[in-house]
Amino acid sequence: MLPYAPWMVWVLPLIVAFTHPIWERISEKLRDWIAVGVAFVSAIFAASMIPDVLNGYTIINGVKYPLPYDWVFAKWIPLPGLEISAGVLIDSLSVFMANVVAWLCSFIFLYSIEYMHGDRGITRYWMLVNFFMGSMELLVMADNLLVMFFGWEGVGFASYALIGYWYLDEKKYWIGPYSPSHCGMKAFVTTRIGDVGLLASIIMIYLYSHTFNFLQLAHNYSWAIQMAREGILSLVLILSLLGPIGKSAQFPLHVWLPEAMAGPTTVSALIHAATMVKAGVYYVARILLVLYPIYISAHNIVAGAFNTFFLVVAWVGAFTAFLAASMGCVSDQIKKVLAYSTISQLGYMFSILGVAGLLMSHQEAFIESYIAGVSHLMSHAIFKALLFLSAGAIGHAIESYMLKDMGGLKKYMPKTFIFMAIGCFALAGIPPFNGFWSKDLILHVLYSENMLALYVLLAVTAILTVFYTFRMFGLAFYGEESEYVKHLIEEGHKPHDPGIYMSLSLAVLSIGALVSGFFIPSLIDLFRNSFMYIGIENEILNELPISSYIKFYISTLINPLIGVTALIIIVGLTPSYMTFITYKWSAKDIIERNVFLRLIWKFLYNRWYINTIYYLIFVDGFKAFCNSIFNNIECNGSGELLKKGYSSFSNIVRRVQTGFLRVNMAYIAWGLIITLIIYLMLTV
Amino acid sequence: MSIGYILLITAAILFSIGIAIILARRNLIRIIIGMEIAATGVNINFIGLSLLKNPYLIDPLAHTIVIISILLDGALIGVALAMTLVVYRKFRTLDVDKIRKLRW
Repeated sequence: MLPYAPWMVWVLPLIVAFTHPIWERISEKLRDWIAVGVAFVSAIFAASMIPDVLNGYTIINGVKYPLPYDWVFAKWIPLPGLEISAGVLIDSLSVFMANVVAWLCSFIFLYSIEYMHGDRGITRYWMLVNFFMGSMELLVMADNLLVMFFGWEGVGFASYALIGYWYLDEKKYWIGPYSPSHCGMKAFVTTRIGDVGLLASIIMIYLYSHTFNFLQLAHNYSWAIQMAREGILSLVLILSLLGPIGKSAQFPLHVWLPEAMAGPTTVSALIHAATMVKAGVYYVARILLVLYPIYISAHNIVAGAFNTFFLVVAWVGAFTAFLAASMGCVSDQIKKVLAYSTISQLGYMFSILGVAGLLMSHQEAFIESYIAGVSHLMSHAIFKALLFLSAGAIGHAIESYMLKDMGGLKKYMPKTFIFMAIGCFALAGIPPFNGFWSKDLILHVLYSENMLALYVLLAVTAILTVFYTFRMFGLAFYGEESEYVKHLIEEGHKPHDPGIYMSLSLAVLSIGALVSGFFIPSLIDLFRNSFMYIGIENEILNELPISSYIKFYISTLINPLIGVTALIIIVGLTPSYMTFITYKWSAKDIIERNVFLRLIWKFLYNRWYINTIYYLIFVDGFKAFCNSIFNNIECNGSGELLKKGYSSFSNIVRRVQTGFLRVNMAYIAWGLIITLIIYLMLTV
Repeated sequence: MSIGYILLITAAILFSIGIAIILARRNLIRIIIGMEIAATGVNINFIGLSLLKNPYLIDPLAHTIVIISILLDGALIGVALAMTLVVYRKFRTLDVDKIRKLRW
């Protein structure tokens, strides 16, 4: 480990974030490269922690500490009875997340240099993305719930500010009927609802345990037992789940993510696909590591509450996966398709981590589902960033993200076509790309643990995933050029491939999407330390089918379930291939011929009317409520009365303001004398 | 009578003179001089109180406060004179009875 690596990963970007106005004065190029450079330095610091996690110990200032090591740097609030320390936790999960975040940030920043070139507010952009990176690393490295919450709010703010990045609300940045600043506000308010729940549950847990620290929470489990005896454990846990639900855009707080696409595409790739929305998944993974030792030690008391909680996690995730995938099938904008797909894939992660919680009594199944969850997190981060950045390359070339403005771009943008194809294959779960390995592992675990209802729901979602992925891909790259593209070519703006930095980032992410799936067995080694810490024996870890490469490949590929995977791909791919890639079937005709399909289309296009209902109640309803107060109370006499009363009162009082300086001074002198007299009367 | 009481009485006299100048004079410059006299009174008051507590010790705390107070006085007088200059440029007079913009 490089010296102070767990601190440097988040402190460096946070500091640099506030220095960009200085660099801007010197040179714009310098500012850009400092922003990118600090991300790469931070990523190197993050990577330097991996060997320590593999070894199981770390050396700090010449002293050897076993991992997980809670590096407390300062007593943050050293009050008696309220000793809160600020520190970082070096363990498998935090190092894994820090690496995913830092490396993706680095390459997306590199891409931004070209993508954001020439934008007006680019200093603000770099400040916010570096601030975001620091906050996100703080979130994943934090050793207690309170410090984590600081990072949590930091990324929330960065997300809000970057969604509304084009705050002048030019028409071309609008998402449907909403302007960018409106979208930012929507995201902020929606996630805030969840954060209130998270904060409330953090305080509840503190009241029972007198600590925020993850390791102490796992060890001194009397808090959980006491809560379970009072019957509030599952409630508090579900309350804390509200935060992840908001941040990771799960049902019922999923409505903000499609609108979050109003920001620059790099922001969508970085914050709303690859890293920030993973914060919720990270929280569930972290809370699993906290709750597992409690379950082992006191499972007859806490098992009921834990089962309720993880059942909620699993079903919220699975339902969200299906809900969002169905919406993605009809979306009219390439970034919105990807946003729905992000929600859907996050649902997969939630679902499998919930299942991991349900299977705490079987160690092998717990580990397999946990690894499936985090491996899908990594795969999704890579391929979704790749897809978003490819979409950004298209947007960069044709200045539009509407699918109806694309079509036939294959011959103009051959490189982007290949990158996007790799991303689509990975998202659809086609071997040998990384999405296949992790998604297959998820379905495999669900099937072998007899979670058939979840299995069927997620398999159907996988079919929809394949369908909407290739629908988007076909609409963008195949078929006739749209009128818009023809118009662009006539004007001399022929769509072209991106330049060197964008291509470089895309190429690196493509290679990642191609090979990272093969390394899932290595994740066992990475997480071995944490698993052994929470009480799982090394032999069990070694005997797992996913712990050795050969066994993992064999059990994935030579398995009856591979037939189901093939079926999923065929069923999903056929309609989209025929309709949107070869254009043998006409989507318009099919929809128009069938009344039932048309109704479904309308239902899905309006996002199950969930967004509409929310707007009806919380936006329009609230506005109507305020208006009625305004009209019925302020405008019918009482407001006038208040105004008159206030003005006649002030007419009396204002006479003390004579404008003579000496009068004011006399007031002061009199005040002094009167105070003195009162003081003397009181003391004598 | 100890030296502390003498200093306290001096301080009270100086402070009263300062306040009287502020209240009675109309010229801004004189008012500033009055402020300075009152501030001197306050400074002497600090020393007097410290001597009252312990006549045989030069209390470093009181002296420190007084030195800082003198320093601040210097800053204050600079700002006050600068403001006077601006007031004079704007109103062409230093008579505070004629500068009566801040009234109802």
